[in-house]
Amino acid sequence: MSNASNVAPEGAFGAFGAFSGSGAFGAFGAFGAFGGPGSANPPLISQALITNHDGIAGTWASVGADAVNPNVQESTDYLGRLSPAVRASIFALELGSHIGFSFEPNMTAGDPGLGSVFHLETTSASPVPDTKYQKLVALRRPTIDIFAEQLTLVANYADLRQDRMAEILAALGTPTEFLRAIAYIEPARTPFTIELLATAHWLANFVEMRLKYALGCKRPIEFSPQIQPMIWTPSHGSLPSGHATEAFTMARVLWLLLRQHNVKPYSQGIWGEMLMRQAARIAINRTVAGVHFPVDSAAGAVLGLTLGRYFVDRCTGVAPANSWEFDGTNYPGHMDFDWRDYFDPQNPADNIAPEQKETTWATESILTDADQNQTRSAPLDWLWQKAAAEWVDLAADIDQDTETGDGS
Amino acid sequence: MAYEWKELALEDQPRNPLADFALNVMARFTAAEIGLSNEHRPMDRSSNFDQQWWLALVSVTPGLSIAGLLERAADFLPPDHPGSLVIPGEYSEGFRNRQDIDVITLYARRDYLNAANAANGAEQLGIETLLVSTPLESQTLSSPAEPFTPPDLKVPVTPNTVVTAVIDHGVAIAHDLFRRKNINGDLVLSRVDFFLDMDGTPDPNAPVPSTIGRVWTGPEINEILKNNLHNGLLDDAAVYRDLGLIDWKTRPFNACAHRLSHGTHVTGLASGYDASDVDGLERRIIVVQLPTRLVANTLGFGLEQAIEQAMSFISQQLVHFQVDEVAQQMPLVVNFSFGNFMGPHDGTGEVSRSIDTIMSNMEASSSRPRLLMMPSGNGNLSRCHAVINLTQTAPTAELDWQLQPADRSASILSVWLPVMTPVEDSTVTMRVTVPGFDTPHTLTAGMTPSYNWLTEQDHLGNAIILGLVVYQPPVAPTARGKFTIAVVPTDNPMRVGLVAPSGDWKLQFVKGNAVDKLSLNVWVQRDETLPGFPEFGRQSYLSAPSYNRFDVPGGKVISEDPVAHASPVRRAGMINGIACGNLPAVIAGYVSSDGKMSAYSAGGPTLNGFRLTGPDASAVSDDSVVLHGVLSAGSNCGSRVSMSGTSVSTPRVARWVADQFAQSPTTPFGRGNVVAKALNDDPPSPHKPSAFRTGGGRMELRNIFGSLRWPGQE
Repeated sequence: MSNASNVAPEGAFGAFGAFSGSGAFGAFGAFGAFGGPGSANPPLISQALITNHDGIAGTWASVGADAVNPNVQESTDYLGRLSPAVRASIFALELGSHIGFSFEPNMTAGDPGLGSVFHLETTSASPVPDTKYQKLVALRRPTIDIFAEQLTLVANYADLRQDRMAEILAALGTPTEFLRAIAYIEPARTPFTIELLATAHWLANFVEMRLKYALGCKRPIEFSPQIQPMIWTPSHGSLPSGHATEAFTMARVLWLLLRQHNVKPYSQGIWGEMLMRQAARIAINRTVAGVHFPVDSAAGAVLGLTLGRYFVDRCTGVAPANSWEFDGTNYPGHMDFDWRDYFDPQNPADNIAPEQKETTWATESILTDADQNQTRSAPLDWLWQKAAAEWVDLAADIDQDTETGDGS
Repeated sequence: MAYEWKELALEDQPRNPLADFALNVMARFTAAEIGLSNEHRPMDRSSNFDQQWWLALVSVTPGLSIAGLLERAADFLPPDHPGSLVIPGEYSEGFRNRQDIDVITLYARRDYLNAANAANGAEQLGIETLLVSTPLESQTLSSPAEPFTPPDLKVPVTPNTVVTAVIDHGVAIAHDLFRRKNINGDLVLSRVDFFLDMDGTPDPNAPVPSTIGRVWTGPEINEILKNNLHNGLLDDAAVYRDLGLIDWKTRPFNACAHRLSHGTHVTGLASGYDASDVDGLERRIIVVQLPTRLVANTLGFGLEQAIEQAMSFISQQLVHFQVDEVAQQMPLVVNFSFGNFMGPHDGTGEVSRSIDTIMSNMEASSSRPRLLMMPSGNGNLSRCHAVINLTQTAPTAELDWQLQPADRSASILSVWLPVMTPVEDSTVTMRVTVPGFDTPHTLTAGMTPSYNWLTEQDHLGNAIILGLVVYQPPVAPTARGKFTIAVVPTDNPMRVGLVAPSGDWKLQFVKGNAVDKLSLNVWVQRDETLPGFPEFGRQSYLSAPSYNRFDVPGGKVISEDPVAHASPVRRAGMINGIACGNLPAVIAGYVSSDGKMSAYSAGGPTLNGFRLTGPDASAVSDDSVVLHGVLSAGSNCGSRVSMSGTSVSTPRVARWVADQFAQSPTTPFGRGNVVAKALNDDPPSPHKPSAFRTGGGRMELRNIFGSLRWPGQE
């Protein structure tokens, strides 16, 4: 069984093969470091260095008290000297320590409860921080009747398996492989962009897995023996779709990153259009494969778009402005997934800001008292600035404004 | 396993065995395939099955009008079945009163069709012959009580405009190659002026009413394009959702969602132009999308039945074109890139006749050229044709018909006698031996029909029909006697009851004393799964020890019958069975790089004296031996994909024909002009393929999209 060799039966999280060195990111040479075991220590070199030390170190000379200055503490200057794998742990704590979660069962026993994700505001420690929860996003699963109705869509989508097989298998790895075909991402050229996307990917996965666990939605394969998915059905729940969540998170982060320095083409709506098409394609391909319902993609899109915006807020120190709720019980059972229901890329170049869109099952609430200071993270800001610098235009005559003008 | 032969009495014999086969013998399979499933009680499907609507191509008793046909139906049909027959609303009041209508289309339920097909169907209902294939999706049909009022539409065009009509399946009409820019530079004006989607749901409020499917007009298409253009890009999926072409809720096969769709590719070659190409501005398009059920049904004789409705639709839209606000019929080239193996191959079949009739009527009423293009077919190597020559010294011949296991579609074979009226009783016999059944059955040709069931007893002791073995004496206008064998599938995953035995079905022919020699033509119906569709049918084929597929084992494919071969199984004569009429221009395919005919490209001879050699010409259907197919439009905007087959050489010629029409819109033009161009492009030489494969010759046409793939091409 290929399952036994841990080759990503878990689908979405297979992308994090990077973490375990199993090489989903193999294509990204530079990024291999992110998951690799660190610098190699070949035994020959170690043996050589042992005898070499014996040969030349000579008599031990002690070091005086003021011979070396101490390092600065809690400084982003230090980040640049760390390996990406080490930074990943730092970014994970920066993000993860500010996420809260709750699950409220429904008042009516057996009806779908609400899984909520919060941004956790914390004050400085004295001696321990005070905390306040700001709601970011909440999901309620559809009823079993809705899933059952959705199953016909899953069955019919199987028609495209032959057409989409390469895409479906390739998308078991990271969405970066597909986003890099739209934006000029390349390991030597944009290592920090890749790292930023991987960090956003981590956040999406961190949140979506907790939600999947809480909502406990059955997979298509559990409804009918005739679905016969063409890949492993992951062990985790169906809604929200992890691929949808991650792809939409990363697509939104990437477009905001591209526009950070107002480089000419990236504020054209077509860039957002293409990034969202790509995210939707990745999501829909999971339905083609037979492992997701269209409503899973819809929930994933709402979650991902929200998390993408939130991630950039954390990186740039902006207070979250709104929260989103996906109520699956209002989702029409016959309805397919169409990303355009959830996001409008508009055309930032004409000062029409992109926006996340409301439906009867995906609604927005305004956050009025979020504290901007409490979103700041120096390490995330460092990573964002490094990544954004990779997109500064090299055109000769451009008037580069370092502040972004369009905000969504 | 208890097989048995049962012969039907004369008065119990249906007149068209294949219609009987489709309506009744195949019912348990068809019902299961179209989802009328009741897995524990398969017999319960029958009542549901009786509610299904069928498209039937019928020939009407001479002298009888449609009005008369309806009167007879009213007399026949019991009062509780008032709705078992629908006359297309497209047939006008005037047409309904004509008494010389020959072949028309009806929509009917099984009770009417069985009655029409019964021995007394001609005198009872006025139906001389009928063809049916598989039930339609019920929501695609309306039941207009009256003829439609012709819509008052105006399509302004320039004097040099040529209309290209494409009858096909899976036509992504919103592809950018079929669009023009508006004054703002947005690519939102469709060159498709009329689109009949036979899979659509009729809309009583649509500008053009329809009996089957939905007709979309140019302005409606433009509105959908405009609504779905975002950031300069068309949202393909949204367009086809709005048009109903992609609907995952109800349809398991959505051709336009695939990377490659047959109709899109074909339409791209026939009339796809970049928006900046000035030629494209004067090429307008009419598209008819055939019902998916009929296309997917590999029973094989369903698809072409819809062509009469398609052609009528096209013909009726031509009146809407106007030059300087004056109605003017424009030149028309129609492309129908589909084929079939069966039929008399002499131009007398219902389909060939109805095509020829409509084309002549259109031409006569317009004084503008009209030409229908059809492919010669891809069956050259399919081993589905044999010629059995019986002589005094060799009065007996044997032929093996191989039915493959896991074939979920029916298998059909027909044996045609030469033109012979009457057929004397001791002309020839055919003996059929079924694998696993040691009692063969022998049929005698003559002037008496013979109708036999092959049955097998199921575990309840019921005799279940597995196949028909039939002899029919000659009937005008096809003056040939015919043996037919039709066999149910050899496999089905659902609970449908007994299936047919796969393996070697042995045929033996014995000449009698009535004739000195006799030549029989055998054709096996195509029953293969079409590309892109889910695995379904597997092609049955003829085999004979003397037929060599390769020059040496594992070596090169032999694509021409060797000169002195002894095999009854032939490559020659595999030409598309519905492309044997007098008027269509029939196109074969060749390989651009080496100039050889594509191995699959089927050829003549036919049995029609007006086109003895078969195809009229050939055009490129493969760029090279390794680069199969040619490039044209994929389903999604901006995409180009390759597809091979005579389906792609045909529309290339259609495009050239449209150019000729544009240059000289009133000059008569027929398939002879295509032959002339081919003869001119391909003068006699030792390397020129035979006329049976290439017709007049290999046409040299401007490469359309090929330079994207192979810059060396023009």
